[in-house]
Amino acid sequence: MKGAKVESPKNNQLVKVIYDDKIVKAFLLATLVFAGVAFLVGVLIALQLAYWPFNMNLEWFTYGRMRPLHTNAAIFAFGGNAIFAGIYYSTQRLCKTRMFNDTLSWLHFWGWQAIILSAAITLPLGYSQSKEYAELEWPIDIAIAVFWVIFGVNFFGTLYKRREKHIYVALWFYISTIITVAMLHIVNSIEYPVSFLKSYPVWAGVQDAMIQWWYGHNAVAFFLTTPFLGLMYYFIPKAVNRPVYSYRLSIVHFWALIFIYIWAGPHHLLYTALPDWAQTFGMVFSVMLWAPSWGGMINGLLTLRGVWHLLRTDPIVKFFVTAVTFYGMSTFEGPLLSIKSVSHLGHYTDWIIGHVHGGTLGWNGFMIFGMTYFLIPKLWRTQMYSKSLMTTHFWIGLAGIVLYYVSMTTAGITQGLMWRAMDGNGNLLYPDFVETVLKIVPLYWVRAFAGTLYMVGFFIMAYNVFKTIQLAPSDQTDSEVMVSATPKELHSEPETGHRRLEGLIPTFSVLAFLAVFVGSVLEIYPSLNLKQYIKDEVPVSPYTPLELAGRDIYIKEGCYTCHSQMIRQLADDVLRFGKASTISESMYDHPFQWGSKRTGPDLARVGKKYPNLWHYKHMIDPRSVTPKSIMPNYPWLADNAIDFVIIRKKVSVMSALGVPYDEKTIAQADVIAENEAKVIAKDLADQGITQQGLERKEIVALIAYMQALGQKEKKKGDDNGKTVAGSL
Amino acid sequence: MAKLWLAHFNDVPLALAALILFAGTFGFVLLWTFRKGAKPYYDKISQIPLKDGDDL
Repeated sequence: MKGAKVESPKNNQLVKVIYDDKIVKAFLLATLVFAGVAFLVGVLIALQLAYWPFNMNLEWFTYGRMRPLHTNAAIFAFGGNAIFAGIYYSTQRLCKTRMFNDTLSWLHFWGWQAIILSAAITLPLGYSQSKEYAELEWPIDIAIAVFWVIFGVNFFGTLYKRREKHIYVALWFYISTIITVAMLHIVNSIEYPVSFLKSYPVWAGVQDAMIQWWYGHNAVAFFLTTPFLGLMYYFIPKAVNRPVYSYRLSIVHFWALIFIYIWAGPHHLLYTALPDWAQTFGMVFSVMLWAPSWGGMINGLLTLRGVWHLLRTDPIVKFFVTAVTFYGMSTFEGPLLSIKSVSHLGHYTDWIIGHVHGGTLGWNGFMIFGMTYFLIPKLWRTQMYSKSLMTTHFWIGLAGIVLYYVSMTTAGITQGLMWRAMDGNGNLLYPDFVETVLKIVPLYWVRAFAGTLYMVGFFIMAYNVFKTIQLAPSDQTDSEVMVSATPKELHSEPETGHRRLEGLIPTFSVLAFLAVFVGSVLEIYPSLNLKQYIKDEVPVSPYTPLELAGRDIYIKEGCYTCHSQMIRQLADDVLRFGKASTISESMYDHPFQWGSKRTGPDLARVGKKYPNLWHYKHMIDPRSVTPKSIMPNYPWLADNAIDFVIIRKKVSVMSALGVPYDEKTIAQADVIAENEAKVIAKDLADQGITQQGLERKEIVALIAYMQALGQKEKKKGDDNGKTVAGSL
Repeated sequence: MAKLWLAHFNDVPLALAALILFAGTFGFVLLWTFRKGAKPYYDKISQIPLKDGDDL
């Protein structure tokens, strides 16, 4: 009887619509399961940073592999499932129709859970592309694209058969989410497979950095902001039973936000080797974001006009209002951090971690919790088991966020100030990097405690939800409503301009796409032509085969999660780490390794700074060469064998991507790598490392890579360097 | 000061294109949605989530 037509007593044609609540329930329960996983792993990695033995000397358990698991679980499993639950619920009701196709709904659900499971298996095993929030390898990337398209078809199909002429603003935000995430994911994931679970992106160096942070920042914008704004525009009016404060403001909010957000990515790359004009664009557009973001926040908050007393009595409203307040705080702080002089202080520090968690825990997390408390009783046709537990969750969670934010902001600003502090002679006051780390370790403990508080709040919610569902009536059915069979006209005037656009799905979607596409092209296209910026024919040598293998181990272990390879054009960076990084130095880096955080020092010029033996000891036990270091031990690197056979394929793929290897190097890459390894192993043996077969172990390849960092730029008088083999 | 600041936009056509695009989009949306007589229409639309028939 889905959607069967019936006659009403007044002869108006009505239809009974049965909303698909089962799919909403499924996504909502998945949200809760993966929230637990994301928070547990988050607390674990917080503890690992506070006390390194929590890494347990276990290969798959170390910070470098767990951190991507945490971010992916939080964003795509917890956030993603919540978004889908909210979208499936609100879209059906705003369109007054069931979802377009039940099979597509369930394909989407199970496909997404399979992707999450794949991530949970592959990331700890070290299968990673090292691109933040896009670490998953190529088969999973394809699956993401496929299931996202299935979701898109189902969503647009539902819009197509809607029984409400006007497309409510929440749906606009969903439209922009679906279109833009597809574009971001596809462009950032164009990669060349080496094997079943290994690939190299086609983009390199500055191109890859630009595209990655165009993706990375807009993952925040179009996965963690626009869908949540859609949810805000639907669920807050529902929760307080009042229309949104200003619908017209929501229209301005929508267009201004999606148009401006897409340009903001380069603010992640200020003072780097990214061309200056792109940095300035990133900064200016980020500052411009203040206006639409705050317009949206004000619109959300003022929806409570006249019913502010609900804030005292209704826990759901508490969650929603706090979430929107955090949205306002985060969108004030984000543009602030994008100003170059502020970025100088805050970039690479824990201030950014505090900022990000203000957004995810406060804005996204509390929106999801509010939405869950709103939906659970409706979907299961009951009341929440305990209102006081809801309030307890709210206060514990809020205490957790505030403590997290304060501790990390304090840690970040402290460390940033220590990095740049100089004496009257222009020397660094704290030249020893580890000194600046140890200073903030107590705050890492505070952060771990804060995260635990937030997690405890969540488990209180999980218990409350469990009891609610347990006590719910057993005869669960989907919601049924009677609605007008044909789309309603809300007015008698002819529709023109934007008003007409609001009812035209294809035109509206194309314009929304253009708003994000044009900005993307204008910003990215110039950086695709590196010749604009690199004048020499071959300014740097490519990695040797063993260095390339070592680089993949660096990526596998997630070294980029703690170490940058980008010395900014700033006096304190140059004094501490050496000459500022140039655009050409990373031109063969597929993917780039500029990093975004310095829990450890920058490594762009670490090559030849220490002997091989230092690196060997540092990997096995960092504290043997750097007392009090918080880096995990990597003893398995001395046990795991290098896969020499695949090196030939890797070099061949790199060559196909434009890295100038000659035929001899490609054909003999494995032999060349073996010879390189023998040289390093012999050097280590000469200095007392007597391990049998060391020349076949991963640690040797990693040392080769570390020693190459900052050593590849050609000096005047070098040969043209077309071959790698010839230089050995 | 202004000259120094503007010097960062060393790709003038690109900067102009961005500015025109933004100003055009933003200006159109702003003018259209806030034009005279539009408020009653949008007030009705803002009621949609409150009248979705799902008042369980």
